[in-house]
Amino acid sequence: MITHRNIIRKIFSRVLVLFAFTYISIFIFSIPQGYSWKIIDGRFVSTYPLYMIVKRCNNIFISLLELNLGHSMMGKALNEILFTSFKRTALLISSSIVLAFVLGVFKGISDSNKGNKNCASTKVLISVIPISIPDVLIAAIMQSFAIWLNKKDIYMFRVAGTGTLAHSFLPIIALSILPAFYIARITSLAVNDCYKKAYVLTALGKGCSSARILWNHVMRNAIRGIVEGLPSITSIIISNTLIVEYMFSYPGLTTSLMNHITMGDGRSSAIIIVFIGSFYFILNGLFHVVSAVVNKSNRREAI
Amino acid sequence: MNEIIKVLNLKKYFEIHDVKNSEKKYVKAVDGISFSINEGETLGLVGESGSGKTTTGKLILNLIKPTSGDIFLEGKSLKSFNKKNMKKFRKDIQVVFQNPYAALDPKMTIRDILIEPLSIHKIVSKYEYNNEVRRLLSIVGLSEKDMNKFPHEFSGGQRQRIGIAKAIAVRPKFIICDEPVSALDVSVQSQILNLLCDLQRDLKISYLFIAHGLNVIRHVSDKVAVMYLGKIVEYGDTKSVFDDCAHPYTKALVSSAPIPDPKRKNNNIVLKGEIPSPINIPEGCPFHPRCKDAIEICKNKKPFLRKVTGDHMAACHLI
Repeated sequence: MITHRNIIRKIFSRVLVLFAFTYISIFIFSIPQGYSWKIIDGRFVSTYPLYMIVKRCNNIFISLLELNLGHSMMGKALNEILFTSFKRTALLISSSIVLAFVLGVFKGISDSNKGNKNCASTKVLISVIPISIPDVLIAAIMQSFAIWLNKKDIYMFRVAGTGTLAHSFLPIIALSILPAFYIARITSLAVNDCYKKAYVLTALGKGCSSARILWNHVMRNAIRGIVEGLPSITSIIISNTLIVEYMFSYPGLTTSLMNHITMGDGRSSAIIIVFIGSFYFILNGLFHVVSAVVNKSNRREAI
Repeated sequence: MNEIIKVLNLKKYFEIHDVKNSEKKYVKAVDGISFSINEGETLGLVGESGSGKTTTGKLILNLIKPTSGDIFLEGKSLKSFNKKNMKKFRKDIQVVFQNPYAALDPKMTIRDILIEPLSIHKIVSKYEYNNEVRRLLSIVGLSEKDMNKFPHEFSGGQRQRIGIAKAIAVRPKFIICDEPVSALDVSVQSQILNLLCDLQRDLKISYLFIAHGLNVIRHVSDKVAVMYLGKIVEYGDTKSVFDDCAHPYTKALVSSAPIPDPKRKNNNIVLKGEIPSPINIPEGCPFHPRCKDAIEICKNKKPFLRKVTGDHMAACHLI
């Protein structure tokens, strides 16, 4: 009973935050261009009445709740724009999360000292350095590499644009590098922590091979820590999507947002921002659920 | 009786890196110890924290490599073991750790924990795994209903029983018990100690019993080795070491053990100062800065184990 109440309370609080975020986003985009205000003779005077902004914001908010997304300034149906660009962004983000997870876990295992305290920390340094490199630079390096390959008549990677799967490879790699090294650090620490546990020593004493110890004892316990770190990389991936999509001219959600902001289409921009925000909330929630499922002892707490 | 384990001049020095000083320094965790354990015999290893007891256990288990010295299992040197021999060595020597909460993999059921050593060493065929697990659980006084439970569902005493079941699963000849009862409450301690004694009687297992509690050591051991700063300072039969202790450190340890008799006067020997750092072990006898009977020779010359009576030996110039 308590668990059900907790679930309802948790969902309610999340939905409330989502609504507040939605309203604030729409409000910001409801403010017309060139809006300014002054205080003349102690009175607040603005170029556009505040109640009109609130009314405009309310109208958009209600139409959003009714799922009546309407049309953009260009006359295109907004739900169609959202659906097409969301498909591309979802492919980009989900692929990069999977790639980052796989790369990060293997790099983390390789970085860990596996119980040997005197192991050199060069590998760890190699993981730390890429975290400090800006994503713009990573994307630029990727593009330079693709140009170099194209010059050699190798068209496995496309420098920019969309249309084929080859166009998605570089954005996916560029987007996954940073989270991969974050996951590598988390994995390395979690694995090192597990190697210090007495049950690993016991397993060694029993005659388990090093591979068996790694997969049966260390990784089974370390995966908890790794999965718990996944929600924190959601924000990194979502914010980097903007840079990557822009750099690779990848027509996803954030490119669509940039286009609508440039056109001054406040209503469409607000709706796209709400959509991106909702996507972040859902992804983050999903990671929390996965974390709770993997970590049985924290399941109740997570609920 | 057959000699199961023999340790000969075993040393383990851990190198430490001082950022201020380029000079290499070593922590002399184990500094030239020798002893042997016969079949069905228990050697109690006692000493203060940091005296090198656990390191000795890990060295015998081959979990860490010794700096020098040798360990013999049934007369065969560990140095001569190849991969196949090492697997057999792992089967013959098992360990029960101090903390039963940390020694069991939290993600494995008791069945999986007990099956793992059976499958590694091919003790029984896989069709007999369940029967063997039931048998092991019944030996340590647990029910077969516990098979599919996780370690967190058990009390400390039950977990230590599982730890013992896991150790005896591979039918070892020798078990290192690294303070197996110090994390348990007194009522459970006696149950575990009795279980270990019963297993020794039935299965002819030898133990190296590492402990702080002198009463525990006295209860389970046939022989006792007292360690101080990585060295054995007194060694011999349990009775002679406890009743006629020769080394001042052993005397202090024995005198500090509480006696459940309110009429008896407390004659505690209080040692002065702290145990010296194992990085800078004092010249001469390592115990001399804390010894009330120390004389000039103690400051200059290292004492070696010398005979007191029969097998009883102590490393003291005053003997």
